[in-house]
Amino acid sequence: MLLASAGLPLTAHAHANAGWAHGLLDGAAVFVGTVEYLLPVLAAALLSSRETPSIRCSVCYIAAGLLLGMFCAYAASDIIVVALIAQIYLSLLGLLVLLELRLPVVIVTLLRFLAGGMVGLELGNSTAGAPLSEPALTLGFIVTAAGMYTATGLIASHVRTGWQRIAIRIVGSWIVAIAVIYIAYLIRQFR
Amino acid sequence: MSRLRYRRVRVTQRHGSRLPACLIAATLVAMPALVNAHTGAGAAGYGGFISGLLHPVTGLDHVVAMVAVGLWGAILGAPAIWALPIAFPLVMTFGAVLGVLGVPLPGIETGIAASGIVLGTMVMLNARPPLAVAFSLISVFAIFHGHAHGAELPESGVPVFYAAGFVIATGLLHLSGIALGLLLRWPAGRVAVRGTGACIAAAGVYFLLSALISAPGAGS
Repeated sequence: MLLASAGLPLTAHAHANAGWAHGLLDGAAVFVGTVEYLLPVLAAALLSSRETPSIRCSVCYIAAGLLLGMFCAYAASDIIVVALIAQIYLSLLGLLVLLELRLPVVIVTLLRFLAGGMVGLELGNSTAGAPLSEPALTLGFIVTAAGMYTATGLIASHVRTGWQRIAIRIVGSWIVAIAVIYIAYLIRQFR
Repeated sequence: MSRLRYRRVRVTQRHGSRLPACLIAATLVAMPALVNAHTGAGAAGYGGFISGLLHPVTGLDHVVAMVAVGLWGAILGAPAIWALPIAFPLVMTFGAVLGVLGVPLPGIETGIAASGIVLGTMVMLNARPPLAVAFSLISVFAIFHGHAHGAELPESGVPVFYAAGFVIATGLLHLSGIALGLLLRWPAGRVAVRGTGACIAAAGVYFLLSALISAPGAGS
């Protein structure tokens, strides 16, 4: 079954040259293929992983944040400034994952929503608002992001032993490191 | 009634324990299709990721030092065994930022070579200084390594992939050092680990001599 399901997606892609299938795959590929979009969602999922019952419910906050971010992208104009703010926020998320703080549910909810918002803002800003005019791509992007968020959150929520929690902290340190280095790169581009 | 509840809980636990594995399998199965789809923009990104991943791995001076950090953490035991691999990337980031911003740091190659010598010696001597001393030592060397990686951040393309690549590669090298440290359970393993430390220190001496010989003005 595993081998068959590994082959199926490739078969489905073989003739998805146009229409909704093409747009959906495009949206999924854009999300998975762009680290700036992937990392905030993963960080938000790891942050939320301590609250197992709410992982499935909380994905709606990510999706809502994504949509709102894409809308707000019409108002934002400077790509580098938006990217800089998004990476500063990502480094904060990574730090929270690293420290493994138990935060109030309201704060975690807000962090998830903002994570989705940052990603949506970056996507909308870098594509000049195109996601809203391409519903299939937007849907594929949001569904993939939500799926990745839910899968990561559910996997991480089953992590119980000390070593497994340390692995999550290490991933948090990697997220901080990548975000800070990218901030330095953006500052270099800004100068 | 209680027996029924016990069986129900056992079944739930059995099925519940399969959930992470199923999710991991599902995610892995989905990945190839997503990676294969529309690789126009993604190809440069993944090329940058591979480039970043290979940068620490193809530089033997980086490899020996990173493995030595993991080995030394294994010797020091908890909490250093996990605290060092967490602290190193964070401090390395500071050095990488200096490299990206073009802030010059004197003696980068010398510092990297010295990291191999010092850390290899620590492993060889089975040194167990206080955690603060260990942290300070690896922090100094992490800055040199980070600067070397950051200075080669690509100007164009997808630098964040490159950054992700070398950060993850550094972490995996630490992990390999920690895995080697599992040999410490056996007497022969302890000898092997100390021997590895000696080899790392010797490699560091070689790199230091190479750096000094190839330095500007050397040999004139």
